[in-house]
Amino acid sequence: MSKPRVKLSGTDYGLLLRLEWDSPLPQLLVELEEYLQQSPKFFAGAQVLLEVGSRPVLQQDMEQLAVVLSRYGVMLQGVAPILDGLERRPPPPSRPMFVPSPPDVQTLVHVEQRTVRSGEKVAAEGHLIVIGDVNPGAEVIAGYNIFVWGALRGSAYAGVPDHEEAIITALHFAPIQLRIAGHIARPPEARPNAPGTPELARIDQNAIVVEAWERGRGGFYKRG
Amino acid sequence: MAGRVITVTSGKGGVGKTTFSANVSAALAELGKKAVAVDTDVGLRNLDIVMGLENRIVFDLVDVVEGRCRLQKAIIRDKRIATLHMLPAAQTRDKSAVTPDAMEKICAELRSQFDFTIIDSPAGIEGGFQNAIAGADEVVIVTTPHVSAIRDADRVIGLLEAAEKQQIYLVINRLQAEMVRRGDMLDIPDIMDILAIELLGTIPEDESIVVTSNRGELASLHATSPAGQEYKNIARRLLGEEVPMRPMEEDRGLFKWLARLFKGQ
Repeated sequence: MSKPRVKLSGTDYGLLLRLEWDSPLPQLLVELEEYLQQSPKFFAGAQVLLEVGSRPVLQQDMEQLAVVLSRYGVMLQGVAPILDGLERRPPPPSRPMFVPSPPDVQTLVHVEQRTVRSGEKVAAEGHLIVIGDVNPGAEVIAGYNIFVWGALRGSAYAGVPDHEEAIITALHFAPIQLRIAGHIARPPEARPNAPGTPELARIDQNAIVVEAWERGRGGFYKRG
Repeated sequence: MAGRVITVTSGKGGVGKTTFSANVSAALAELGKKAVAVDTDVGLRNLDIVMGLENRIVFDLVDVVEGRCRLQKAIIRDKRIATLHMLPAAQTRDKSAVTPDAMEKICAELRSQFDFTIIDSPAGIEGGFQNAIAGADEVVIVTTPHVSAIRDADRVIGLLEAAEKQQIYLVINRLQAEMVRRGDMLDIPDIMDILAIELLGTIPEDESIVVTSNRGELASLHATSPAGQEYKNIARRLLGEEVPMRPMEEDRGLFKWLARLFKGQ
């Protein structure tokens, strides 16, 4: 028997499907089916990357492969260039060229409903809402805005790493340190006790400013 | 019998965990409950000194864990109150001699024999702390009105919540009413605002504690010690009695009260 034309192998980036592309596609499909039939349950639920190297792949070919794979519960996750010798070898990863588009982090909201205590860290990719207090010694971090429905007495880092339009708000605003994008601020020593009314921090002319939240200002808080 | 296992912890050292453990155990015993105080501060044991039982130690916690003696043999009976007992820590070993699993087994055994098992925890949040809380049904956090002690208490509460301990109480120790009144010390509401857990009691600064601890006497057995009385009140609250919280004014003393009266305040 000749060299197998179809091979599934585990790599550091997940399951990789390799085909001998010189063979005609119908033959590859038959062999793929045979390969999967050997252990029909083993691959169920798996996601695979298809190695295509630098050759163009027709969408209809991809679809036909995906159909065969899906019959065995395998999802075609995307395609990748040659990952030769990558099995069990650390990065650099060749990022898949085609992946389902990730969710827009600007629409991701993480809600934390508790007291975030000293030594604890809550991080969110998108926005972070804390319903409760953020105590001294605690850290809250978000890719975009941070809203604290309670007292902010710990450290808050919004807009990580570089979203300058991010804001930080709290009902009682008494943080130890604030960061928005690359800017760092700490409250002035002369103001140990915040007034206990809602306040908001944002970047204005390259510096973090903290101001009382006022009704009816709406879009004013937007940067620019 | 299904007793209660209560761990006393704080994060920060020197806030009064051991004094609390000894005195509340004694107060519970005096109220007729069968109580045992357990020292889990292996390598830095103190509870035996505060309870005045140092010279009666033969076996200790580590001997029980390592199977050199039965639990019963390591437990010391107090000479003053028949229902008060103590299980000492080992002094010549370290925290790694005990594991959370071993503590859970010991706590299960103690729970079946005693109404109250009061576990005195070492300072810190490492192995010794993990051992101390492993078998606890309830946890008492002792803090003082100092920012650093409160910060550590907050950290410990976070760890206890993560360990899914449901019953967590706060005790504020060494409160000085006069300093609070002058605004030089954090007030009870300031502390409660941050820690936000149930308050079990406040204990006034009391010089007699130094004397009684050094002598191995128990302040809760002295009617004249303000702190001792408050330990007793805490014991009664643990038993479900409604005991009003200590008002701040009491700490000012008769003389100061007269002085204020004189000044027309």
